[in-house]
Amino acid sequence: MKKAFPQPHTVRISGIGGQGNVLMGIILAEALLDQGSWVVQTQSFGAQVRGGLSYCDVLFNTEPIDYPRAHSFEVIYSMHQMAVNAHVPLLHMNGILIIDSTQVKSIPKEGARMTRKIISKPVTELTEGKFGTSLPANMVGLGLIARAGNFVTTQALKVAMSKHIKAKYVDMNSQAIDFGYSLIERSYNLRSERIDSVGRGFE
Amino acid sequence: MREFVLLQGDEACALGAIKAGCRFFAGYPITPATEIAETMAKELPKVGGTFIQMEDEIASAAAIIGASLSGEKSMTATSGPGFSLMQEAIGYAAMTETPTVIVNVQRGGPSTGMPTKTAQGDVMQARWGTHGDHQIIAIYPSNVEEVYKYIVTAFNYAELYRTPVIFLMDEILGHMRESVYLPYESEMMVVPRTGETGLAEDDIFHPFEGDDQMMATPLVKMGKSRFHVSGLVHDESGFPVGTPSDVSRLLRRLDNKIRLHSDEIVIYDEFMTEDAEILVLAYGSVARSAMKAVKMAREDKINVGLFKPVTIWPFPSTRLRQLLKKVSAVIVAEMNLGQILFEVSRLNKRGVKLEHLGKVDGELITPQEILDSISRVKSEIMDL
Repeated sequence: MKKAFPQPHTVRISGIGGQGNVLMGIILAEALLDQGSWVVQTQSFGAQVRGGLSYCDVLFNTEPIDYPRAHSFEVIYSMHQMAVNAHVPLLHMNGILIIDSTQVKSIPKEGARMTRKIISKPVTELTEGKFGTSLPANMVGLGLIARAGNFVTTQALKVAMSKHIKAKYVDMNSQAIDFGYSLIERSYNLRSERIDSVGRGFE
Repeated sequence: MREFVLLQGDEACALGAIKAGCRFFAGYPITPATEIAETMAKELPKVGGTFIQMEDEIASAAAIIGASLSGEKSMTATSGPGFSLMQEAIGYAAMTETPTVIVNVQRGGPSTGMPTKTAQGDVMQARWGTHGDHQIIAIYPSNVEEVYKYIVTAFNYAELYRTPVIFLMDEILGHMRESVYLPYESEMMVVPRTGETGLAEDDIFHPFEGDDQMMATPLVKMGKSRFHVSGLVHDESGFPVGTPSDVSRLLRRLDNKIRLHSDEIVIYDEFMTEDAEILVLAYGSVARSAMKAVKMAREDKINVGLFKPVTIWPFPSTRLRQLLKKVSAVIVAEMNLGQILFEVSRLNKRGVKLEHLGKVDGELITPQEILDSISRVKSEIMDL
């Protein structure tokens, strides 16, 4: 007999070390907490500081979260070809896949099979064009996530960002979040409650 | 309203320590414990405390002992490789009855192992890492809120029992950020370092004299007394002695002061153990996977419960013995090849079915793996 079991919502931000994906996750987690969710943020990286596959997961729910990891994701934001290749198979059916097409040249076949919600923008290039530097590209990414996923407000993101970034850069990063939000028109909604079924066959 | 904040495990450890009165931190950076040192470096000066980055972990452990003997509550934080280097000083702290806290955020080992991956391979080292007969207190929380709460307990136990306390964490717990309701100030009981010896000016302070409950004399603040400290076997004044009766008296008191009070020291959590036929025993971050697995199994009408030791040492033997009388099987889930399993099998006099789920690939045990183990054990019990 199948049973319903509520699961937390899951977001994975991935790239290579140095792109700022862990900072994105921390700011996203803090913004979600500000909106009243229970959150867990974990990360994975290798021994090197720059380069190498690195990712940051954010889980959020209306109740406390027991298991801090996730094995499939409703939203994946990916900033490197290596990361896309590794993580697309973990996308939830009909999940949202957002990629920085400056860094990612091809999406694995599984991507198109799992979802039609694929958003591809040359984030690094657009950021350089607008701000003269690619540094706030990760904040542009957060703006994209806010628009595409519709589960976090840009206002909450900006408040969280200002706690983690030096005062003199807050303005630029704030604009970067708005810029990301303006890059796309389409929004999707996450399911209000995620249910995964479990069933072991014992009565 | 309680404050609802996002805290990293390592940050919570440092902030909780400051709440507990820690005013001295000496350490050497190491993944995954570096953030504790970072937070201490930032926060300690704000409360008049001292942060020192030492040349290595041997010096770090020695410095916190010196700081504690001169009157400040002290702490260091490291991971496996540094914890190995600290063992000699931990023994010195045990022998000289110096209250201090050593945090070990475990990563994969042996040796440099896997710096950014998680493991629970140091639980036996926490117990027996330093040489000689000694008791130790080791506390191992399983979420960020518990880190904040139990680091205060660790400092309190260090003062009350005048002993080094090992505070175990793991990479998952140390690096994870999580939403936390901070406890009210009034909920946090802090045992202060006493300011007075209670002696007249000419009396001699005997800091190594136990009372009839075998409890140690409370250590005092700087300038309140002078006494001799030695890692050699010593009498109540601290000067070395060597007669067999003196040696035996000291070593037995060091053992008794913790062993005879272990019922007051032990902390554990239980979930749905009342009617459990299968018991899952897990600690640290694995307890979170186990909690979810137990909830999932209950949905499938399997009577399973969770037993989570918080004090790994002293081990909550009394309660586990009671549970072992009621259950048909125990699953020990841990990220090592059978360290607490050994402790459980030692207590398992009735020969209850014992299943081990050990994982050493640097990843957290998943709820599904525990659930699979529960299902397998359940079908084996039904076959009997």
